[in-house]
Amino acid sequence: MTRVLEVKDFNFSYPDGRSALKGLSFDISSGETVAVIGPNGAGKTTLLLALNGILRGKGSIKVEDLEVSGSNLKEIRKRVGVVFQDPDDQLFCPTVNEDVMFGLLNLGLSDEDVQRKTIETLKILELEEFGELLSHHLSAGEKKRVALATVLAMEPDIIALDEPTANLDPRSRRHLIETLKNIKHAKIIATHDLEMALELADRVIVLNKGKIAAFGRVKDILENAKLMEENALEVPLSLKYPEKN
Amino acid sequence: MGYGYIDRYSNIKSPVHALDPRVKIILFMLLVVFIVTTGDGDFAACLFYFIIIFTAALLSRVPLRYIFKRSLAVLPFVLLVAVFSLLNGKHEFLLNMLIRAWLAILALVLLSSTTKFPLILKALATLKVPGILVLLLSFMYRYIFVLLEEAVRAETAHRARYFGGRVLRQFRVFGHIIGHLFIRTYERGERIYQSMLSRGFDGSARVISKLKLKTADYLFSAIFLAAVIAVKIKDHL
Repeated sequence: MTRVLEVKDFNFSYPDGRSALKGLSFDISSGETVAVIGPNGAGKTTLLLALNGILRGKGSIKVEDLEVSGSNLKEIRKRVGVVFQDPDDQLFCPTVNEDVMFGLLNLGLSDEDVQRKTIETLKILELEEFGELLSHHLSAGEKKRVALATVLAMEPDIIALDEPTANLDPRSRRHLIETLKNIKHAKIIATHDLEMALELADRVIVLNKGKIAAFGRVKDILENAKLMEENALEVPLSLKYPEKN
Repeated sequence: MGYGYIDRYSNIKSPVHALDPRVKIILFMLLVVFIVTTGDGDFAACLFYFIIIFTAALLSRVPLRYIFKRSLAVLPFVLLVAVFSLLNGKHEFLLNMLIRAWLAILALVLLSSTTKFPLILKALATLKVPGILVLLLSFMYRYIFVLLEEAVRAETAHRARYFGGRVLRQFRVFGHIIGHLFIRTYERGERIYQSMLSRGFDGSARVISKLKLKTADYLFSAIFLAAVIAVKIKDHL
C-alpha cells in the first residue's frame, strides 16, 4: 500500500511557549482509517490543523512525498481536507451550494467544473435537495454532512475529521458513520467516540499530553484496559461486555 | 434554534421577486437617491414616490403590514437627527426629513423582503462591489443568528441562577456576559478563518453568477425609471 501521510518527529509549541505536540511519528496508508483518541487537551485538534499547515511546527509532515512547507500550502490544503468539529465554523457561506463551491473556486476550476462537482458531491452524500438551503437552518446531522461535502468535493488524498459524531443524535450519528464507511479516502479521525473508532478505524493513535502513548491495531489498543485507563479513556462497552452482543 | 430570518417573505413568488436582483438593487438605490434629493416642501413628489413604492409593494404580495412595521425601525434614528435640526432652528425641515427618511427606508425594506439575501450578495459581487465588503455582509448574514443564539444561551444561564436581588449588581453580570460573548466571537472568527484557509482561501472572494436579464427585467426597469424620472422633472413638464 502506498503511503499517503508520513509524520516524522513533529513538534509544535503555541506562541506562548507551551508545548502542544512532542516528537510525533506515524504514517497512514491509502484507504486506511486512523483514529486519534486521548483526553481533552491532548493535542488532537492541534495535530489535525498541523497536517494541512494551518499550524506550523518543527519536524517533517509529508503528504504523498510533498513536504508541508510555506511555499506549497495551497497544494497541501487541497490534498488534506479538514472537517472542523463545529460545522458553524466550517459552513460560513449563506447557502450550502456556495459553501461546497468555496473550496472548488479557490482551486481555480472553471465555473462548469465547479457546478458539476458540487452537484456530484452533494448527490454522493444524499444532500442533493440541500443545495439552495441556508446552512443556518439545517439540523446538526445535516450540517456535519454538508461540512464533509465541502471537503470531499475538493478530492483530497486524506480527510482529517475532528469529532465527527459529537453532538449528534443516534440516528444522525449512524448515518454519518455509514457515510464515512462508504468514503474510501484515507482518514484520520480525532474523537472521543470509541465505539465509532472501533467500527471505522484500522489503527489507533493514543495521544496524551502531546505525545503518542500508543499506536497500533484498533482492537489491540482498545482492548488494553490498563493502557486505556492510564490515558483517561475506557475500553468500549462492546469489547468489555461482548456477551451482551 | 432558529430565531427567524432577515429576509422573511423573500421566498414567495411574485413579479417583483422574480426580477433580477441587480436590477432591483440599482433601481431601488436610484429611487433612494431621488427621494433623498427631493426639494424641501415638495410634498407632491413625496406622494408620487410613495405611490410608486406602494404599487411595487402590492405587486410583491408581501404583507403591507410587515413592510410598514419594518420601516418604523429606523424612526428612532431619524428622530434623533430631527431633534438636532430643531436645535438649529430649522424646524421647517423636520417633516420633510422624516418623510424622506421613511420613504427611503420603505424602499429598502421592500428590496430586502423581495430578494433572498444570498442573491443580493451575488448581485453586489457582480456589480463589482469590493469582494471584502460582500464577504463581510455575507458573514453578517450567516452569523448574526449564531451569535444571537449564543447570547440567548448566556442570558438563560444567567436567569437560571438569578433569584432577584440588587439590580445594580446585574449590570456587572451583563458586562461579563457581553465580554464573554466578545471572546467567544473572536475565537469563532479565528476558527472560521482557519477553516477558510483549509479550503484554499487566499484573500480573494470568488463567486459564480448565473444571473441573466430577462424581458421582464427590461420592462420593469423602463416603467420604473419613467415613473421616478417623471416625478423628478415634473415641475419642468
